[in-house]
Amino acid sequence: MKKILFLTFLSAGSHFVSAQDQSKITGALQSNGNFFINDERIVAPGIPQYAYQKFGAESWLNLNYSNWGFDMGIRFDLFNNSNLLNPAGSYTNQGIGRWFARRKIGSLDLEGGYIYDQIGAGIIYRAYEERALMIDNALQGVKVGYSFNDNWHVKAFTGRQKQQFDLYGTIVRGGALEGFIKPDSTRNLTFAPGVGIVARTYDDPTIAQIVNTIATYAPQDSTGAQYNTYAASVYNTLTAGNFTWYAEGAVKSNDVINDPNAYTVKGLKGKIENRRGYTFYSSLSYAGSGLGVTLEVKRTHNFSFRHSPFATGVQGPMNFLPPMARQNTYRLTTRFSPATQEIDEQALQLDVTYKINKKLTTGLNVSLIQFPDGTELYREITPEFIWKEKRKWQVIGGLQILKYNILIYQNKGDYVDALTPYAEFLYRFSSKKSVRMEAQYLDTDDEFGSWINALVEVGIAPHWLFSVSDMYKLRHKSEGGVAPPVEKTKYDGLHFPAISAVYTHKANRIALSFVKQVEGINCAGGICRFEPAFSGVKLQVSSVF
Amino acid sequence: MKKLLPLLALSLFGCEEKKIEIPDLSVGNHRVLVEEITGVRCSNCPEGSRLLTDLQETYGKENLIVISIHEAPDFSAPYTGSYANKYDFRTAEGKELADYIGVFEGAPSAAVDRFATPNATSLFVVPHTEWPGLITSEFARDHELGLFMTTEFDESSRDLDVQVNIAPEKTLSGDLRLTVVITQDSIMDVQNDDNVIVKDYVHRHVLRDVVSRPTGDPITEPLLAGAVISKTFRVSLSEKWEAKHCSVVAYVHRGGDPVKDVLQAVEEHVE
Repeated sequence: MKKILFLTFLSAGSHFVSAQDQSKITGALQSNGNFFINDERIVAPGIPQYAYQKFGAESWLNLNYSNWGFDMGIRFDLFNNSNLLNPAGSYTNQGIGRWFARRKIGSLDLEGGYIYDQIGAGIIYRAYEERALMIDNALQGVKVGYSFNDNWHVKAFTGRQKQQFDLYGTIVRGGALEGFIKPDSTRNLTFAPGVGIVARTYDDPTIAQIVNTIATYAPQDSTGAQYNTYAASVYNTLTAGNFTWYAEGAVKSNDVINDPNAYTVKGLKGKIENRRGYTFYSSLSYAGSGLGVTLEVKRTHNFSFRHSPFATGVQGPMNFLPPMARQNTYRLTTRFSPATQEIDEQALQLDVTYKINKKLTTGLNVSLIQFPDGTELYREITPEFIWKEKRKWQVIGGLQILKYNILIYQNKGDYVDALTPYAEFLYRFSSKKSVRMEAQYLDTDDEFGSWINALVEVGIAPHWLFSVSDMYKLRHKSEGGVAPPVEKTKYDGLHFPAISAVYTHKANRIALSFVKQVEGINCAGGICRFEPAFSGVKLQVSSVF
Repeated sequence: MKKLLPLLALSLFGCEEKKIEIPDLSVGNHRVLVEEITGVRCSNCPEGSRLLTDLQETYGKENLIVISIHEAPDFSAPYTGSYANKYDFRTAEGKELADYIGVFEGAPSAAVDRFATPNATSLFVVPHTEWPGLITSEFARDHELGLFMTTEFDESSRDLDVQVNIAPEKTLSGDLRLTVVITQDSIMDVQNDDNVIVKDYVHRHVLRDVVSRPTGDPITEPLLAGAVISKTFRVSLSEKWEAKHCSVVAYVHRGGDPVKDVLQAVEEHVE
């Protein structure tokens, strides 16, 4: 099958010569090479890349071709001793990671192959790729869309979602109707309503695993199971003047989900249970007169929607629950990030920016995440200012005030209370040369204690970017002659430097860096996972053509 | 459009959902082996251990055999200081055994008969809520292989003689291996249990020694239907291990990569 596809693609490519005026080939390459250098002080023993493999790589090569009203694409994926799938393990495989063909015939839109798509904000269905976390759950199947007119569109799809170079056994099917309404052409008032439904059918091996598990439970814990689960959502984006309001409500029928914190009648922690679920998410934004305000709220209840109740972490999701914390960028302000809780979560986030004058902009971000019983999971309050002195220099300053339930997110300790002041200074020597400096100090008595981080970055436009940074773990002091436990002091006095050089030429980028990185939570697009420390050299190449 | 929507909804939602019958539990001739990865610093691991104890009560200890390998990376080093561990449960052979079984993907994790679940990236299964279903499925498999063991322990010399008889009921082929290990039960020592350091935690089924090669001793004799192949081992039991709580576990498994299925297992107390 793969050979046939490849030949088809090549023959299409050969046509490129004879029909150059209509056809188009585009592509992109992304490659990562990791050279692992063991450092016993920070790297856990037993990780094969440090022990004996020494090198790991990942690469993705996309080729897209358009002609005769068709869009086609193919992607080659390669993983050699990669630590992306399991940061403490090694994964090797390669092959066709994606192919697709799409044709638009009048109002009809047909697509087959590996399809990325989502309904609404992704709460009931999202097939997407997040390479940093090795998420790629494209739907291998078909999608049919139909446009009733310029404003109303319906789509339906079915297939199986991919897991690396394999497919999950479960069958997914769904559809959505989406529209756009502008009642009065003279006023800035629009609606973008939508309704979506998705169904998932478990395959026999998954059902067997579920019933064999439930069979070991006491009758009180045996809540049954079924092959099919359905999820539906209604959503709308209302734009009125300077306001934008998005709201989505979703419900899910009975679904066997894994609740790691539920107790069985025998007192054992963790069980699977057949539950209905719902999620509500809304975001209200205002932008105008130098003021920008965004308020988001979310309530999740039993909305784990996966290909198997036993798929955990970044594996097997069918949907995407929007994150409710600020997307921080500095090394120390990102140290404690909250992963979305699928079983129960209520969250609120307020983000305000106000431009006082041409030079000064202030901002405030507040994120609150809790269990419905009031158990605090995450609280971040970050006031910030930006001072711009013409185009010559710029200063950013802020303070992150953080409370982080590390017991729930990382299953250790209790809470982390941290204060992290940060500052960034950007100075432009000329239109081509600039220097950027940043510094943060994370002050806490919890987890490993306090850290400092500093970075200097020199930019020589349009090609070069050099940076040097160091994250340093401040030493603990003995209190009353008693030394703190080893778990807290294991990184005391250690440096985690990073040195990098980046060369950019048009849409091509090469980055070479030496990195020592402490263990912690890595988040991408709101999805987070724990990753062990890294020590080594990274070579990253990306090119769009 | 009005006609399309009900059709779309009907195709997605279908009719009434079929109720699935939950089967009664049953145990066949096949004993199931669980190789659990754990560590004294692993706060979640006691939940896995308690689950396995509960399943042993359900299925019978003689049918569900458990080995706890203290090789969870970063979670197995003994505590030091005021709540220091008395013992270091890690062994070089245990590490080799764990590395041979599969990649560590989190704790608690366990290999159930070293059976690879569909699309799994390791034989060690996470989360622990998945173990009961796998164990139940494994009881339904029968490789028609008999495995019997006798032990003889000399208290004065602490020599332990082990004889394992492999008795296939049908001819088996391929790379088959025999692994023999010693475990010790009911060891009281420090453990992180749900983020509480418990000083008198009772450790179960702790792997103490691997008598055979950690990757298994290849069975070179043909495994013909009706044949009996005997293997003997002599090991000196450490004085640090309480003989009354020690057991010998022997199991026959495939030696391929990634197929390492355990075909049969047996456990005998030393005393």
